[in-house]
Amino acid sequence: MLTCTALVVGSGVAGLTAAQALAARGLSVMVVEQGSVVGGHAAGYACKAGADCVLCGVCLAAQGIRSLRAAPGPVVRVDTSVVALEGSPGRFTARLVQRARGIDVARCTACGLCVRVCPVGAISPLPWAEEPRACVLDFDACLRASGNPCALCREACPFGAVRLEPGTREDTVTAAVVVVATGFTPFPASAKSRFGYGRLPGVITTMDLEQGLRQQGTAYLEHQAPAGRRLAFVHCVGSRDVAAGRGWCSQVCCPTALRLARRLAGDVPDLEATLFFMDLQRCAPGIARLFRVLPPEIHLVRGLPAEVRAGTGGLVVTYEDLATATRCQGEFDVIVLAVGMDGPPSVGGLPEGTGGFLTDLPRGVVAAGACGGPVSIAEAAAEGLRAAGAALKTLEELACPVPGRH
Amino acid sequence: MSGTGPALIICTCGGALAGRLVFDRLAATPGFGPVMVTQDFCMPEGWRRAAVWCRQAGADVLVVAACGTPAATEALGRVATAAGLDAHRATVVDVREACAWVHPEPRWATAKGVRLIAAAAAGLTEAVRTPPPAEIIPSGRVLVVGPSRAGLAAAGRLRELGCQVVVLDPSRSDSSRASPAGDPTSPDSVPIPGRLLEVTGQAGDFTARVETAEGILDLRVGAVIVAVEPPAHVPPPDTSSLLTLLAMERWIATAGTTPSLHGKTVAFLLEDCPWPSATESALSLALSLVRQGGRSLIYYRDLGVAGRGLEERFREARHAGVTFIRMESDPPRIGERDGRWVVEVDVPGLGLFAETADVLVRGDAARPPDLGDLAEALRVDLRPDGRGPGERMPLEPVFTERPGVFWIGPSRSPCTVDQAIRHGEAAAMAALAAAAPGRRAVSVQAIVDTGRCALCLTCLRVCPHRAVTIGDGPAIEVLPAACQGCGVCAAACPAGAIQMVEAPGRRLLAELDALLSGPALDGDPIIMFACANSAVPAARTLGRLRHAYADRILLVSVPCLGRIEPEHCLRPLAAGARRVLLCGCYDRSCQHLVGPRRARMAAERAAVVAGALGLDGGAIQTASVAPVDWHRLAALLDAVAAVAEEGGAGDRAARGEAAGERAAEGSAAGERTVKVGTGKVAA
Amino acid sequence: MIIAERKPLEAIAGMMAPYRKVLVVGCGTCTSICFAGGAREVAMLGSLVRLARQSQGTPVEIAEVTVHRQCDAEYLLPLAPQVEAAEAVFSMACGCGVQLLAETFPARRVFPALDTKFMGVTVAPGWWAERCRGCGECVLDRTGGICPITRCSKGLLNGPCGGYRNGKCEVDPSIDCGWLLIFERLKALGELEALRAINGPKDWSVSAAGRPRSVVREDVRTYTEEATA
Repeated sequence: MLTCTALVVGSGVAGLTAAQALAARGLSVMVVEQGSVVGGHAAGYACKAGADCVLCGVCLAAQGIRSLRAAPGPVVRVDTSVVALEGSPGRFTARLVQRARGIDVARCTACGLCVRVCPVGAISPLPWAEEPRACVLDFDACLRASGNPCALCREACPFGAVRLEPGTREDTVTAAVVVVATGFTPFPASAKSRFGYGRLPGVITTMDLEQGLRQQGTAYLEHQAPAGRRLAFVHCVGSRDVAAGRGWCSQVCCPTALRLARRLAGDVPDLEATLFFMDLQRCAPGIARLFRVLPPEIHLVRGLPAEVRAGTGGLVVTYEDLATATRCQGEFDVIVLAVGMDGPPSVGGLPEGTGGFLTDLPRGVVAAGACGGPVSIAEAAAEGLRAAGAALKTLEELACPVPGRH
Repeated sequence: MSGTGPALIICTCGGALAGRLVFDRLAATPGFGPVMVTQDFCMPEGWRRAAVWCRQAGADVLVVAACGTPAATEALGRVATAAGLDAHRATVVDVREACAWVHPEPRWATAKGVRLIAAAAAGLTEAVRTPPPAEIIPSGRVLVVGPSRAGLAAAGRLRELGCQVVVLDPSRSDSSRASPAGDPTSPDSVPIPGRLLEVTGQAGDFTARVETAEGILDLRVGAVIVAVEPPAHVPPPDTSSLLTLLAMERWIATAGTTPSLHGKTVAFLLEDCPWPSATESALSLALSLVRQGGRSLIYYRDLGVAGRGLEERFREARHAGVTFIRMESDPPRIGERDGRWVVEVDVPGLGLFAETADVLVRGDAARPPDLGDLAEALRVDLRPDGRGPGERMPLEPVFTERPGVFWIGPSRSPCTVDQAIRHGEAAAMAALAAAAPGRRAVSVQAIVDTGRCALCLTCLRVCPHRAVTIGDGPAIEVLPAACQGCGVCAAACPAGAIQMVEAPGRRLLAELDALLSGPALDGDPIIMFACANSAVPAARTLGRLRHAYADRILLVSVPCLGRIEPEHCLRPLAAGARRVLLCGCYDRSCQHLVGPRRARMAAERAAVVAGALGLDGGAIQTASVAPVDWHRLAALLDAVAAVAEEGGAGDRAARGEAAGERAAEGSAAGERTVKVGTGKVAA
Repeated sequence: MIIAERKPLEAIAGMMAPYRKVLVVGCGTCTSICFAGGAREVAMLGSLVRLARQSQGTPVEIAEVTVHRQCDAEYLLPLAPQVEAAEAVFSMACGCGVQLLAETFPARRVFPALDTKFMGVTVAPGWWAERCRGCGECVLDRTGGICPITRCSKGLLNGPCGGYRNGKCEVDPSIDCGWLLIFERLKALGELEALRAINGPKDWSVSAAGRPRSVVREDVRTYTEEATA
């Protein structure tokens, strides 16, 4: 049984900001992260600066992760999910399930000896992960999953960090308040089958492009379509779409699509990008300017495509140009679907509102960031602060003794 | 000094670095006394052993050659504490990621490691002792300027958290109908009509000079939140049928009902208003009018629905019968017929489309409140669009360049009600961190040599965080709670009177000198000054990825590129370095706002001087990189190494001209003005 | 403060050419503040000349020191051993400092490393402008606090010359007409009437153009007649 004053579920930008703000007030804070590394979605996104910064906010995630080391900091548990949450303000109990990572985070120095000896490449050094900087063993890929007694990695590790026993460990943690910062789920683009995601080569999502650019640079584009220079961005995929059950604007996709298009147009010679949109959401700080002064390689077309087909010379997009009210077709090499935000993966015991977003939480549980509705990275940082304040307020109302309070 | 010389601990990372570094040669780095080779420095058993050894060796300066992981830094802190070493007398040199992993040839990797270790030792021996932390006793009170939605949300949350709040209403400061001034210091008082004149001091301990009906008074506050709304120019109802959104909103809010609008047609012109805030008010007004039996038309080009619940409300309005008309290019043509407005637009596919309306409402959410005086009182910059804070601070909501001063709501950008309240509550938490009562220790990052300070005020003018103040003493004072440790002041001080605790001025030079000598590298060295916020994390990622780059590139970490002085660029060139690279943030992402710009100024100045000397001024280069963008850094490093390769001996032959440095001689008769090229500021 | 600017490097190197051991003396007051002759500029000049001479094969030994103020001999006297050891001394102070150094150490050649420009103010970091000529008889009370001697290229005392165009001076169109500035200031102060008064001729004999000036204050002087004898 573990105890903390504030439990923060999720370690994205909002969660980390909230956790740090609460820890800085002298509270004992535990952050529980479902994934293997902290930082959330934003920690995997690419920088979109061209000649100058376009304020995409990805650095904020990096900053948040780096400042985790500031004292007094929160305790962070990765590979851990909250399966049930119950109780009332002052005494919440969360049941945690921690997946075995195969490698002890506290003893791994990421020296890479195990990665080198593994015959099947089941160990990943997670080179772009800032925290924790420790390797991960994929039990499904491991030879031991098929009964082989291989233990080369354990023998190679100088620090005894390899734990070859798969499985899960359960734990319970009590907390006075809970901040839920579970983020969002990207809209499953394959659900819109007419755009051919997962079916047609060259159709990708903005999430794919973000992560591809981060990890491989512009080479990622070459992998999608060698010598492909004609790009189309389709906005509102899974946003403002009642038919798809998503009757909300995801707010961040218009700026993201433009920033990505600008970055690629700046980095890849001869690249032409066309943005298909409904209403341009250009209110984010600094974005109005970017839309006003568009480089000649970027074209704006009002009207969402009806479908994407494979043609002889590339991918054929059929759309209605609303500016001229005409039906048109265009040929492209890569189609980038600007996918919207769906609600967060569910946390046991919490009620979900429209679209799975957490809008009506019990007292003492505070939502921070995208799990309450779509927000940008910078807004998520503000959300983290707001949620920390709301959590403090609950503690204040409880008037219960809280560690570190005067 | 114990006489043993600096102590060195080399960690082999469990043997993982064997074959990649020659440990004997690292251990033979000149200038060291006792040397220990360990294999598990970052493990509890490892650092405990190291601490015992350190105490026995009697070292008072410690260099650990290990890796760039946080675990190694943490272990170093533990060893230093256990061995009684001052924090600024011990450091970790990353020989794993920065040498072994990026330079495949052990000989070169080792040679670079030796240089890095020697440089660290040279820097440490010049280090200053850690000054005791300064103590701040925050006032526990927050000043909110502007009783807007955002401001009141902030005030409300702060009160809930047990903070005293004073709300100032500058819009009513000079009006005679102002309500009698309350006592601004009593808690839970109503907004006080008054004007903020000046804010001095630092986060937690500001003195705000306020002018109220009672006169001028000084308030001690811990933080200031600016949340001013645009002024309400509410025209008297029924006298005009041309309104702005804001005016209409306020009119309906004050009148409660609008009988004069029953059954009338109202057209909302939002063609230049893509802001969700404009959509929000237009939608709610249009809906209420339609429900009262009237007609509402909304003209738009891009409907701003990027706010919580707006898309849902847009659909609701459409179902309720509000007419939405999308326009493409031309603005609507507005005429008058029989005392009614005629609005004519060109709708694609429909052609000309004319409607008559009784009342026209123009969107105006883009107009900012008048913030000039407030910005001056707070010494915070404004953007060209009249909102604050300054142009280089727009990314993070809530914060400004001046710690303890927060800027929210319509003063920052047009925002919806929901957003205004959220930002208000976020600002409340940020303000609480600065203002909450209880002693707070703040580490001192800049030390002023009172003997050298000439009170020339250069630092006061260049400090991006407004941390320098004129005190009563014989020297300027750096406010510790405002100082962010960037070192821009230290680089600019003409008397060399400011020392940064993390990197004292002479220390950076000593490090450079040590770095520029030592075992031969694979070519003449290339010095890269790397900003700790951007280039250093990017370079660390290169290390983690084991992405090879030329080992002649030697990285020097600085807290901000604004710390770089021309001398730092010249020293390496004079010592035979092939190139000097200043790599940091982009202009708009620099946490210290001016870092990249000041680095370019220093580089320019250094290039001019280098040219005069016959050195290659073109060898000094500035570049930007994001902390997450290691691809760009890798490309940059490859390009720099390639250019240096090509340049070869020809480099030195290409001489720069010592031109442009000197302004034209002033005429004897005319007014004479001296402008130094690199220090020029537009008047 | 006194504004100065470093002489071109070639000029300084030329003066230094015959010597193999020199002392560079900085000044911690005015010239330090205007980035011309403080500790940093001394270090910069030292390393520049050292490098240049090294590459020419005629190395020079340069000692560097910065004193609090070069216009007071008390700060200079402690330099005696260093001055003694050097063949020549280069001062990075204003002309006053150079001369006092030369007076204090008559046996050594003293050279100026700066050009002394004027008495002025900081307009913005890196930008200084002249404000006072030290004419010996201040008229600022009559001109709204703007000096006609300094700000008017012709030093006129009773209004502009008539040669100004668009508010600029005919001598140098890049500067504002001083008298227009005075007019506008007086107008803002509501004191335009002051312009009606005629300023009589100025006593130029107390100005710099007259003769070397000195100020003697009986109430603060500590020296005795014997000391000066």
